[in-house]
Amino acid sequence: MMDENKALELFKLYRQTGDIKIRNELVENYIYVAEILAKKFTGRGVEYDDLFQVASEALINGVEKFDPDMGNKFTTYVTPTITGIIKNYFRDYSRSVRLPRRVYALASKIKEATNEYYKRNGVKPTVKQLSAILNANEEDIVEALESKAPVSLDSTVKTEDGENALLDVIPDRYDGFEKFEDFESLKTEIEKLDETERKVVTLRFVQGKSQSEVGKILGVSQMFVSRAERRIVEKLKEALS
Amino acid sequence: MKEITLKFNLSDSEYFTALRLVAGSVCSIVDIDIDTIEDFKVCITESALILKNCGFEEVLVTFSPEKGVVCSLEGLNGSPCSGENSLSLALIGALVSEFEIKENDGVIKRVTLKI
Repeated sequence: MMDENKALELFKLYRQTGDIKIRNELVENYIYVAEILAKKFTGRGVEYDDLFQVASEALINGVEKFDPDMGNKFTTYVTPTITGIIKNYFRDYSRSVRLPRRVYALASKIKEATNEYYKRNGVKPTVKQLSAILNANEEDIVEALESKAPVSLDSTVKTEDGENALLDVIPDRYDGFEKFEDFESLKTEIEKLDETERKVVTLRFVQGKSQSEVGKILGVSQMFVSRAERRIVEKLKEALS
Repeated sequence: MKEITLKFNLSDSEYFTALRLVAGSVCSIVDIDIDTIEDFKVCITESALILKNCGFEEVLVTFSPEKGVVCSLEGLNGSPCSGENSLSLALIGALVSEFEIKENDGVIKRVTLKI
C-alpha cells in the first residue's frame, strides 16, 4: 500500500489529467476499504461477492470524485459513500431476503442437520459443528436457535370445544374465491347449498371468521362447523370438477 | 433506568458474537427495526475493535434501553495507546446518527452510540 503523501500526489495528478491508469492505481491501493466494508455487511442475506462488487463500484466513484484539496483523508471521505451505497443496495435489491425469513429457513436446516448428526453420532451437534455443517456463521446459528420455530398448521391447540387443528381455528384471511376461474359456476353451486351451509360459507370464506366464531354466531359447536365446512368443500369440488 | 452490562476480554474474539446477540436482544426490546439493529451491531463490534486496537484488555459494555438504545463501551486495563481508527470511526459515523468518543491523552477510552 502506498503512503498517504504518495496517494495525495496521485489524486492531484488524476484530477489534473483524468488519466485512467492513475485512477486504477488509486482504486487498487484502496480496494481493501471496499473489502473491509463489504465484510461488515455480510450475514444479511446478500452474498459477499455482490456486496464487494457494489462497494468496489462506489470506491471507483469515490476515487473519481475525491478532491484532495478539501483536507479530508480519502478513507474518511469514501467510507460513508460506500456504506451509503451498500445500504441503498440492501434497500433496493434485497427486499425479498428479509432477516426473519432467513432465520426461519436456517432454523429449519438446523433441525434437519441436528437429526442427521444425531443419527450418525448418537449425540447432538454443537453450535460450531452446525456452523461447519451448514456453512453458516455461529451468530446466525445461535440467533436461529433462539427464534420461534415455525408452527405446523396441523398441530393441535386447545379451544373451548377441546383440541383442534390450528388450521381449523385461525381466521381465514385469504379470499379463496380468487382461485376459481369460473366464479359464476361457483356462485351457482353455493346457491344450491342449504341456508346453514351458505351462512358457513359467508362467515368462514367471505368474512374470514374462525370456526369457533362461526359456531358461536350459529349457536353450534366448532366441530359442527368443521364438519359442515368439509362437507361444503366436498360438494363444491364435486360440482365444479 | 433499566441497564444491562457485559464485560469480557477483548482478546477472546468469540465473545464478540455474544456481544452482538445481546445488542440485538436489547434493541428488539425497544422495538427497533431490523436494518437499524444490524447497523447498530456493526457499530458496537467496531467500537469494541477500536478499544482493542487502542491496547485495552477488557471492555465494559453498558446498554440503556430507554427512548431508543444507548450503548457505551469503555476500555479497561491493558496498555492503552493511540491507534489508527479512522476507517472504523468513519463507518460508525455513517451508520449511527449519534456517537461520542471520550479520549484520554489522544487514546480513545470510551465510545458511546445512540439509536
